Amino acid sequence: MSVISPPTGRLEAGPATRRRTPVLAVAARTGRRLGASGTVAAALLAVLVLVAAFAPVIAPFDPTAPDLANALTGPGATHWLGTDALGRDTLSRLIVGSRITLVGPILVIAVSTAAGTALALLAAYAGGRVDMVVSRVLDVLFAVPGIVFALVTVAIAGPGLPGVVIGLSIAYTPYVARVVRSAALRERALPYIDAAWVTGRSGLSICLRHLLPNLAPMIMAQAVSALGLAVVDIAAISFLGLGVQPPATDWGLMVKSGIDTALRGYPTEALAAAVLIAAFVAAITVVSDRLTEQAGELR
Amino acid sequence: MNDHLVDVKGLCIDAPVGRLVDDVSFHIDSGEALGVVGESGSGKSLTARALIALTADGLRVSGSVRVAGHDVPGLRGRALRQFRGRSVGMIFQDPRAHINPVRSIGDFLVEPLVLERRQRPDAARRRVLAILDEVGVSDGARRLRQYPHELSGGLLQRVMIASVLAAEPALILADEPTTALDVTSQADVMAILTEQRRERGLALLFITHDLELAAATCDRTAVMYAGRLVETADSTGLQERPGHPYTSGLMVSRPSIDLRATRLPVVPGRPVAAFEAGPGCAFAPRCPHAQTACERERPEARESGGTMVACHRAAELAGSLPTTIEEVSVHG
Amino acid sequence: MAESTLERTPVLSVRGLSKRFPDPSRRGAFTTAVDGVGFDVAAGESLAIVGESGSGKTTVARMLMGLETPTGGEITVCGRVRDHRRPGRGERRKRARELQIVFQDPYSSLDPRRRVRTIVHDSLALRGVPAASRGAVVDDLLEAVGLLARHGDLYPRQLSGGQRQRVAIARALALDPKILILDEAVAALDVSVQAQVLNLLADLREERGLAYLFISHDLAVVNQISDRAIVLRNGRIVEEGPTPRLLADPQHAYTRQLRAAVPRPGWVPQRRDQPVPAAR
Ligand SMILES: Nc1ncnc2c1ncn2[C@@H]1O[C@H](COP(=O)(O)OP(=O)(O)OP(=O)(O)O)[C@@H](O)[C@H]1O
Ligand SMILES: Nc1ncnc2c1ncn2[C@@H]1O[C@H](COP(=O)(O)OP(=O)(O)OP(=O)(O)O)[C@@H](O)[C@H]1O
Ligand SMILES: [Mg+2]
Ligand SMILES: [Mg+2]
Repeated sequence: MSVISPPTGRLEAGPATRRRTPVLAVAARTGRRLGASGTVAAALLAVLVLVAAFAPVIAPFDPTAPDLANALTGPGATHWLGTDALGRDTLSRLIVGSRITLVGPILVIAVSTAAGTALALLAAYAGGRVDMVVSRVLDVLFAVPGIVFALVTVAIAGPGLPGVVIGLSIAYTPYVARVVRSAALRERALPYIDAAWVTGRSGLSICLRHLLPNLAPMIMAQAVSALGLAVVDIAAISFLGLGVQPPATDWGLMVKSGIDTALRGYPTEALAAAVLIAAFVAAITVVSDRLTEQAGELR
Repeated sequence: MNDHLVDVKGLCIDAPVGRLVDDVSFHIDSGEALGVVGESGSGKSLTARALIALTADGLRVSGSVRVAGHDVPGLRGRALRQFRGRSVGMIFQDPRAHINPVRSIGDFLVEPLVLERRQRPDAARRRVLAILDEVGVSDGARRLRQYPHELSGGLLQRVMIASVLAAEPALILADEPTTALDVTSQADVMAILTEQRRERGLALLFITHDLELAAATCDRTAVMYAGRLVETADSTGLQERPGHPYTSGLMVSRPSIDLRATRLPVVPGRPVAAFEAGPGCAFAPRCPHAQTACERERPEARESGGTMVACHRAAELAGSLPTTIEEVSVHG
Repeated sequence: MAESTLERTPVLSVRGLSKRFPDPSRRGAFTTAVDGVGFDVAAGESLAIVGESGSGKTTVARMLMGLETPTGGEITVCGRVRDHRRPGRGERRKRARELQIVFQDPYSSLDPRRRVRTIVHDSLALRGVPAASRGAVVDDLLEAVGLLARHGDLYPRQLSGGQRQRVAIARALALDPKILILDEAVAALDVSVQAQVLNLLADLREERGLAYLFISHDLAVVNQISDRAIVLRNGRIVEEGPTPRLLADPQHAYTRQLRAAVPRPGWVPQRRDQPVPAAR
């Protein structure tokens, strides 16, 4: 008789899985993870995106149509936030301006995150000389302030959104690449990457199938936090008059034109645009903080 | 009965998910070493931390914990800090995680003596050097100038022991102090701990998952499973005559250096946490001797002659449980 | 078990293997991690490498896998001499069929974002198993390492340490290698689970004729799993021989020291730096 039961070499059942989760449950879980402030911030961002998407429908007036008879009025029943020097409805201009305010930074972040992540993965995976060259180039780019890049590209491409987006995308790339590279280096040193390598996976496949999915939460969190910076940078460039060109507008440009009217005793436009920029950036920051916490908790 | 240095009665620790440590009772006298053995998640660290009221927020501790005359759960603020600093020293598995990497070894060792014990810096330094020498750290003066990353794991663990000894505690809690070390460093560290404990008359709570190590270095050994103590006995007695099937299982499934089994006798399945266990004996699902009663009813801890066993069938099985691979293969 | 292994042709042959690392604390200086190590592993044989921490065991394993470039010596696997350049994908795939490794830490050696089934599936795809039959082979492999098909749908974080280590073994077996390197592969496991995995390794070796290179500092485990052992100290081999002989009658003082450090009934821990105290 064997005193200890016969060796089966088999382990007992582990925890059961839940495969499919209903959408609502996902939303509830996300809400719980974001916490109260995070949920409010996320809701604010969602409202903003909706407003931008349906701007022409929502805007009560044509934002570009001058109405000199009603020029420079304060908040009132018809024009809730008043009108500017040309008599254009401020609320409508804020609503329509949200589109460019949103699209510009998102483009910048999309391009710089893609480029920065690609460079970071290349450097971290290849290591050695490749890493050294990439890191040096990034260091040089890093030393140049973002606005300067934008000013240079704007000088070349002429004022307007395309020049600004190209310039800021280049400026943000080393920032993204640096952060992602150091995370990728840590991830690359883990044995599961060695294991994939010795089973014969190609370098590209290791980067795309192992490194990228594991870095994704961190890259997302980092992109959202950079989004806040991009909003401020683009607003600043618009404020200088080098970004969006009238009659199109964004909030940065509205702060600038609003300052002129404010000097004549009508501060609503500048105030409203500035408050919106601040609220937008604050909401982004809160959400990105929560995302960063989660990215850290994943393991 | 209250003259033990450490006296724990009915210690329970609950988390929101459920019970983690369940009705644990033991005592340690001055100069005595108690080994606590158990697999991962059995609640060893939680128990040790309860002795210095260091359980995480969100855990509820109940039962009586008395250490060196203090009612530990009742200690607050300054009294608690003093108790932790003076009466008890703690040594951890990973010394690197518990030593500030940017301060030198000298700062780490000397500073507490100067700041908390109000010793003069040169006196404190001399004392630290003497202790380093005792724990086998050669060339102490140079070591004091070094930083943690310059020292190997074994050496750093000795520094950790030195820092604990310098505080002259009455009790040392050692939570798997050798698990991260190789066998030779483990032997060094255990030799030093044993030596110092005997010389200074310290009580030692030694946590490990290696039953042979605990039994060889401690006076008494307690075996923990799923948050409960299943057996506590004198170490030699435990090794010669295990009273609980789990104890015996741990002993025979460990490979031996003298004997090679065709197959190791295994305890099937994996360890569980206390709240995962059913209403009966937590070990019953893995136990070759389990009967229906074992699955239904919690076995009580029965004491006889200083030995405690919590098993329904302890009396029947007494003396028949195997202690080596050899016995199992001969019988099987 | 394989007794007359020495006559068989080696599947792995190592000669004069060395590795120097640049010393981080002194510019231009080097530390020698592995120094002229040589050994053979016959088909189906289990060879252990033992030694204390820092003796160079892992460095040997990493050089065999191509994860580290040797600074000297020759490695021959299945009759092919390895060149020391960093191998490309094609060469790695070829090598993967010869040599695989299981790492010590069951927590970081599996991709946390891939399900168990995918992890094993990946290896099969890389080996070139036709897509149609991969599913069935995954199930066979999971069963071979003592997991249920159900475990295939789980993520590594949902498994215990022992279960994870079985997945790592299944991933390696999926490539059908001749030799499996196990670098402290059971060191992080609980005693009861460690015994299960050791038995599994013994079974797999018998069924598949695998050769093992088993790296450990635990002589009791080494006794259970290996036919022959080499003792490494500061990167050099100080003793080698059949495991039972080596443990019963160690010749080198260092081997005796390693043996004396293994806890067992009646054991008294002794310090290396002091003369043996009088028994008490
Ligand atoms: N703060 C906590 N909240 C909830 N559960 C906890 C907490 N701390 C520990 N646990 C759980 O309590 C159980 C016992 O933990 P403990 O750390 O005491 O185990 P252990 O015996 O020391 O194991 P190991 O050998 O792995 O160190 C485990 O299942 C653990 O997951
Ligand atoms: N990448 C590296 N750079 C510099 N030195 C290294 C590197 N890898 C290993 N070493 C050194 O080489 C020596 C051998 O290390 P190795 O990891 O092979 O030892 P080991 O026998 O596996 O030890 P352990 O039991 O601790 O795993 C050590 O002194 C270590 O510090
Ligand atoms: Mg613990
Ligand atoms: Mg190693």
